[in-house]
Amino acid sequence: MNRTNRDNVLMQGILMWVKPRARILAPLSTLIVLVIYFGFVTKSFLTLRNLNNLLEQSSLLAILATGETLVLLLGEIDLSFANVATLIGMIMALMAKSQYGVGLVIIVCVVVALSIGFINGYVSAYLRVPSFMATLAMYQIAYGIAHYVSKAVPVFTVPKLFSILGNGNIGPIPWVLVCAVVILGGIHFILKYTRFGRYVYMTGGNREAARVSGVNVRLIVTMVFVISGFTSGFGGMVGIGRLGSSYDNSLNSKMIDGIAAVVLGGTSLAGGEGSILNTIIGVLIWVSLGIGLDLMHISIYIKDLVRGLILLVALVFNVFVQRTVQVK
Amino acid sequence: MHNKGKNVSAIKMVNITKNFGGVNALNKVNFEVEEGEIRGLVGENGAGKSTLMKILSGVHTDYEGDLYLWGKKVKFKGTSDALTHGIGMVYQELSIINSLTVAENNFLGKQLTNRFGVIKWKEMRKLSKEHLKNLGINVDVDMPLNILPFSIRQLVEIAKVVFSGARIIIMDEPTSSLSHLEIDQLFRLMRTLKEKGHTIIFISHFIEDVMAISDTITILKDGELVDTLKNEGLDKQDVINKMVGFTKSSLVREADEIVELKTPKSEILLKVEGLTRSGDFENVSFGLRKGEILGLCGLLGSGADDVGKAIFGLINYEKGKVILDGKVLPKNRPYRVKDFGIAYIAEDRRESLFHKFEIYKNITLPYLAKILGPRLNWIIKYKKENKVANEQINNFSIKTSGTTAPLNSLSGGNQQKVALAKWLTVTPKVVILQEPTRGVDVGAKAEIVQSIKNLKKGGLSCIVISMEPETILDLCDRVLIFERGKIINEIKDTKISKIRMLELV
Repeated sequence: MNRTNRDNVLMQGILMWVKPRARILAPLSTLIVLVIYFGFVTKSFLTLRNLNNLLEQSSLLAILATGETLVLLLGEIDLSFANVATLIGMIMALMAKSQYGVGLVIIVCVVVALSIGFINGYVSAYLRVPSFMATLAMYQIAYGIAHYVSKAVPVFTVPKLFSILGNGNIGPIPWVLVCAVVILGGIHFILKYTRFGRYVYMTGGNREAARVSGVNVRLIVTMVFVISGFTSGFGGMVGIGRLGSSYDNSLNSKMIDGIAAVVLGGTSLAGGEGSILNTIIGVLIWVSLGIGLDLMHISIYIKDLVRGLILLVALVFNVFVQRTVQVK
Repeated sequence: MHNKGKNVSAIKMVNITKNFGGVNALNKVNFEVEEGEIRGLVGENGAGKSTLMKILSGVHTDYEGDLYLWGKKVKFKGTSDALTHGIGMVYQELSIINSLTVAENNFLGKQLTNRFGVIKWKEMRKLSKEHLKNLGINVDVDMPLNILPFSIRQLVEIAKVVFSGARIIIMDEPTSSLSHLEIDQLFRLMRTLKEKGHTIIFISHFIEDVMAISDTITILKDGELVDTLKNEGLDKQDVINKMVGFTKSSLVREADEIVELKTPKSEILLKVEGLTRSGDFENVSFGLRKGEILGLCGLLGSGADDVGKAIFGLINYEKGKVILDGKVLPKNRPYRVKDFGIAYIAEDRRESLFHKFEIYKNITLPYLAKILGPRLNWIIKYKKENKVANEQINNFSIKTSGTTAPLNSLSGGNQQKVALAKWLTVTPKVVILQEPTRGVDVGAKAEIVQSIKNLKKGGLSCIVISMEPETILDLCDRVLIFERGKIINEIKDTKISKIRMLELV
């Protein structure tokens, strides 16, 4: 066997290994490059304190983006999740201000969050309004309610439990990380190891085929939006607990962050491909970018622009890598 | 315009050969049409009609042989190139845009604009009106197409093709979804076009329609041109004889081979009563016996395929009911109908299979709960799934490297077997098969036919819906013939040849 031949065999072996994993490896390499880069150009990026901060910020975003992962897997989109999180956080704060017990607060918040998810799902699956439009309306409705009930006045009371979940530590581990692990772990389990999760992937991969194969497609879509409602509601409660105060737009900016993170992680917008692992990587990329740019002391006025440009480049890179590997 | 002497044909195709992969679709076909002629083009499915016309209209640019238009040799780069040479094609699926008006469609892609690029609406409307009037089409040009009936939209499409400069118009199955009155309307337009010197090629399964309007009829069979006949004193029987002829493949039935149909004496399992869906099928009633294979046979647009979809709940119906074992089946809910014991094997593999997903996931999906059960049926169990998938791969001899290979690594025939296998992981009561042998090679076809016969031996009842009389005769105990949404004939307990079957259809 001559040399070129052996190289070819080796190359083929690598491709065989890389090909099915391209969807994870592409964003993972982006993350590694970013971390190494920021490690070099800033003094403090790779310090323990900063990494802790990175994990805390990522945890909150990951909780919020979990539901969006499922929604994108179906080939749908949920634009309302960040505003719903804000609204649920606001309900929690207002109820706490009125001295309701934390048990009742949780029940009310969860019920409202699930209902909002159900409405999103029902309107898009059964009434056939494209989810982009349905959740755009919900985006406005959720903000509208938060704005109305708060009269645009911030609320500074937060139940102690959620203050701890947002800011506290258990030993060296932040509670918010524990929350994220539980939520992400739970959804990961549902996606990979339950029949429902299989239906989500199959429906996202080819909705008509799923229907013809006897899958109750509309029920699956509705349930995914209900889950998305739940994760955004829970994220809202932890998020407001972390902030310590509730405004009518506290978490609204997380919409772009969440969708950017999921897509950066390699979950396909067309549905059927992606996973929670992808979302974790995507969240880490997006949060690293934010923190890294801060540490580079880039002008605050240009930070968003730079982040946007890097998002664009990273997405092109992801698509390029996946395509070159998959075409072969 | 193109007058270069009377003796030059409008179209002359010489020694046209076309291969798809290893399959020979056309073999040295010589096809000639005079200017101002209406030419009928007939043949069975797969005879090569569409392929020949797709070469003429620039869809297929890779073929052997020569093409002459009005005596001039041409080689098209694509469909728009063919159109500039005066060849337009009207497909069964219309290409006009339903949300736009008649006038807008007429000028689609070539709107009149002034020198600032602003569209000249007034002039476009006026020109469309004149053009349609010239062709004898009576329609308000400001109407959006989606409120017009299909037959009018079709006329608008033909007018548009003519307006684009087509001198030769190819129509693919234009009458298949029209009523008798609408067909007359279409024929009037065809005659008007003929008077104006246009040449028309009319592809159709409906021999009567072809014989009603064509000047000459060309018959294709197995990729070869059998004959071109003058449509004078022509006998329908002769045309069908030539269409069916003798086949080359030994696996395919000879035309005059007699098949005996025999209805089993078992009790009735499934009853369809007065099923109606306006525009698609009307008052369809039949029973299906235990262990029987019932064929629903009809040409495109006959409604036979829609009846199958309606039974499984894929499309809704307004009137009637379906009763299985004394229980009325729910409408419009395939996921519930499935649990009553009905399996549905769709015609289109793209619509029913998951190409990027593993084979085992494709196979286990319809009865996933049952495969994972009985205990904890909501938890994925890879071993159980893999076992079922392996069994099915063996049962149907699916050629694959393993259960985790993606579906698109399989050949078409093997994908079709997956489409069958995935519905038989659990034994259903009734299997509805939509064109089970369409688009697969001869070997896979024989294997699929055998699998369906095995189902019957196992006591299952099947409904086979197909346009191909061969498939129907290979499989069925009893046949219902559909035409324009109704059952027009029942063939049972008799001896019949393929040729007679074709006549009935």
